[in-house]
Amino acid sequence: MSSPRVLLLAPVLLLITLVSWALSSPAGSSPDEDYHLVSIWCATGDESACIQEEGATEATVPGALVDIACYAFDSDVSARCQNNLDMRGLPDTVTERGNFYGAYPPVFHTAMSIFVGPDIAQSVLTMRVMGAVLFTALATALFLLLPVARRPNLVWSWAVTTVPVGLFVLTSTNPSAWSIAGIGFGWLALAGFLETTGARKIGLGALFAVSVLMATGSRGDASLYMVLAIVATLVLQAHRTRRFALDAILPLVGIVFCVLMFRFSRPAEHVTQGIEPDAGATPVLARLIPTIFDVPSLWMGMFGKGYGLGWLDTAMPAVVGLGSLACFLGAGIVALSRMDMRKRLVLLGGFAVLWALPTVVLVAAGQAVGANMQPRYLLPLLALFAGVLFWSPRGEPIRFGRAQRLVVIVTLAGAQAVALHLNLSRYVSGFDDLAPNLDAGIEWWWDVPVSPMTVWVAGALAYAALMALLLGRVRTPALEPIEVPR
Amino acid sequence: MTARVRRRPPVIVLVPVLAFLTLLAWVFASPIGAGPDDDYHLISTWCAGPTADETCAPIAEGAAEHRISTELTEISCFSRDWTQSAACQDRIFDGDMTDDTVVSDRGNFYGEYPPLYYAVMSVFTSGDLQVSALVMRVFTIALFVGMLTALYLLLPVERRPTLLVGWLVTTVPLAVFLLASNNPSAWATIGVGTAWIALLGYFETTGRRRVGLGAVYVLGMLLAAGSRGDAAVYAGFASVLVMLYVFRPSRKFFTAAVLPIVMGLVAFVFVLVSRQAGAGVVGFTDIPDSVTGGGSGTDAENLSEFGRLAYNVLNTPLIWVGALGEWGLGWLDTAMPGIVILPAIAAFVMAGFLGLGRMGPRKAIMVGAVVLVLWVLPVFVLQRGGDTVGEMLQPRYLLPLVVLLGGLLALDAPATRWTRDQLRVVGVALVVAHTVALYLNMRRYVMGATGGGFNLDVDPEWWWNAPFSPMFVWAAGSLAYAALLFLVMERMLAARAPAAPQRTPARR
Repeated sequence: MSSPRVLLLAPVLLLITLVSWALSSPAGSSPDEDYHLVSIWCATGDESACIQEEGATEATVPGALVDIACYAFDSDVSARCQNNLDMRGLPDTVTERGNFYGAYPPVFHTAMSIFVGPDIAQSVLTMRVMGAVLFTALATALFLLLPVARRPNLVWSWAVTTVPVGLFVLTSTNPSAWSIAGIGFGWLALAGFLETTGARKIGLGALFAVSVLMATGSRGDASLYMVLAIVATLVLQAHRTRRFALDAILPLVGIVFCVLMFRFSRPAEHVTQGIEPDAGATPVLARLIPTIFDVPSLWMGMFGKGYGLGWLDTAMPAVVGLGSLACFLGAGIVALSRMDMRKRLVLLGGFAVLWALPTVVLVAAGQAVGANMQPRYLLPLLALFAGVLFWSPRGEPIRFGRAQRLVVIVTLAGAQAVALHLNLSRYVSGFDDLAPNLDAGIEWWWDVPVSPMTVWVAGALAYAALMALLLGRVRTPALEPIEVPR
Repeated sequence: MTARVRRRPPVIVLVPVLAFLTLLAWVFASPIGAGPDDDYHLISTWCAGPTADETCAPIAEGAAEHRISTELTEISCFSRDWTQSAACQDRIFDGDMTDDTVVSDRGNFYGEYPPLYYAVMSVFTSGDLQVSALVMRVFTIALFVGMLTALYLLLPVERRPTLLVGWLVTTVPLAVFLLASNNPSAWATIGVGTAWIALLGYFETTGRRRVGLGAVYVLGMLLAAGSRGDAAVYAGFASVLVMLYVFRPSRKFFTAAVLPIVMGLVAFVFVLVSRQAGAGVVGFTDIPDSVTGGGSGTDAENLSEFGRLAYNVLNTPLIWVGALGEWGLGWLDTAMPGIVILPAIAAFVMAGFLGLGRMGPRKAIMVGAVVLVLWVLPVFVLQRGGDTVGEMLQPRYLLPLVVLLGGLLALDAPATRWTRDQLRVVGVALVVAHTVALYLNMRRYVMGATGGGFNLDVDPEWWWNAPFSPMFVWAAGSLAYAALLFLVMERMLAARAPAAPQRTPARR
């Protein structure tokens, strides 16, 4: 954060990074993406994309959509099999795998359906790029509207929670992208709304509203998480004034909206998150303790440790998972230096939810950790937890030493570069032909004028520069103290 | 002055007692032979001792094959299968080590290890294998606690937090297990982890303190060099780093430097004596696939030459966190769950990251050098052997360097002002990790990892012939460790509280 003018580069660098990730995997690469693409195609209402009877639980879609993830589960095999799919085909295959039972709120799929065109691959790429643009726009708007002292909160909490799983999911056509962005941005927009005035306040209120819509419109469980996020923010910012009472109308409306959206989608399905109960499993109590013991492995999975990208098939090496985790833990412990009772309370509550929620879901479903519940389901909660972790009650800066900043910047930049390279390798040539030069043995690539290696170099450099720019030493004099009316 | 002294809580003297009790719980938490390759090490110990004629006689003059008691050769009958309790030991122990023997050359008969560890431990050998081995374990932990206590008392006051933080964040769960085992890695870890800071204090003090610290340094170097060939190299490396850290072009420095230089030569002799260092830091245990961590994923078999190098370079950190529970305890057969691994990693990373807050150029060089060795050495060893991370090279071989790194990062610890919340988070993390690790480790031997209920006292398949139960040992060890951490945390908070600005020249 050297000079304001250089900071103008940040959105550009962020966008380049995100677009690199959007390009780094073929259509269908995120978990259950065949399901979501069918749902998007059928949200168009266009007979050339999807033919569906009113209220039917099956639909006819282009065959390529159903087989889009033909490469899934074997990381030694590239995405070459997609070359055999007819990406411009008409609906000819009947499927039940789509959002036909109301399992997901329709907003995400409907919004993405705007970008459905004749070519499936090009359509998916357009959706991903638009997702990247949306994320960049929201992040930039939030950065500009927040009080200056709150900006590091935004930057640090996102930086240490997005390599590599976050970056992958955020630039995918998976609704989890909107859940994560909505909750990660929403609470902070609300927090800013509660402590600003005038145009800023209106802008932040609008950002909050957009965030709530994104979260609640993408996944049923995200509606619940959004309620938690709003409550957490109110705990951090509540005070007994007339002004706050008026301000609180917006978050309360938000909560009501979340509840309605949750009712709108099917709750039962979402509480177990699609995990089927496993008949004949051991009794509940006997499963409880092992599950409690193993849940922290899920948390580590959010940083790419032990769980791969894509259909969980793209394993990340230790340097990515542990490097990213270490940045979160290290920066997080420093962030604890700014503490008051409210923050302590919210963090303890968040920690309890992060532990109890997967435990309850897994024990109820009779499954062990690692079986079906994926770390990405918890990513929205991590975005919230990390956000509050870097919250500074009175806006005082959280002070990082030079070596600390340097280690975080270098580690994140290195981990991101490795993760992006491996993710590209896995689809371009398959892990069996792992080589430094991605352009050497291309078996699959988009129909775009840039090569895989160019994408990697651009993404790696852009992200490294972004981290250096945002996490480097702040010139403090510009900071205005937060006036907290308490 | 006396008033200030009285205000200090005298409970701090309980810390060594609690540390000893914690480790004592670990002594009883696993059967004899539970440490990795402990059958090899116990055989080597008995073969160096007074009963060697009956329990370990060479079949011919100078031959490597020995006629060895089956109580020794089958001691680890439960290893590699974590569903099997240690009940199989019952048929081995019949009170007579001489009746059943088997011809074997699995022991330190080719000079793989330096002889000192076995020579010292052999003093405790007798016809009763279990009692002798327990005495050896207790001897090692007493030595460890004694050395740490001596260091605490002798070091300059501002180095005390470094000593405590460095050891605390690197010992759960692998090191506590090994320290209380019959494995020479215990001495290697103690030696390297104490020698460097003793040497640092030796350079920073005068008079009797300096003599005392010099003595601890010599002892640490002997423990390291006398137990493992690679530890001799680590200890010499640590000595060089400390000398760089305190280097001043003065006569005083060069005079003092004679001690580490002499000890460096001694360590070098030990390296020459043991062949193991030449063969790389490689042991004998086969590593079961299940415990080598999930971070890797890819089928490492299919990798090209570049792929293998990349794989090893990018996955070496997995071996580091093996010391923090990522790989199993024992014969790598006692897997630790996330509730142990994550808090142990968190405690190390958090303490280390706070340590990075204070970073002079010399500290940066030391930390950088150790990280570099921790990265390059495993990659080199693995590449040369055609192996990948997960094979051959085990976390315990790197453990002394991990302990060293934890200490180095905590240099300038008193200047790193931990807040109460930060201390609590790290403290609670360690207590949780330790409590669960001790329980699961005991459970694995008492009833097998998958059998029985929560209460280890109900139908234990294996336990000592002792007047205390498994649950008692678990509760005592867990409480002792929790109390230990509580006292240390309170101490660190008290030390940085208002009295701190008073710059009384540290008691040297």
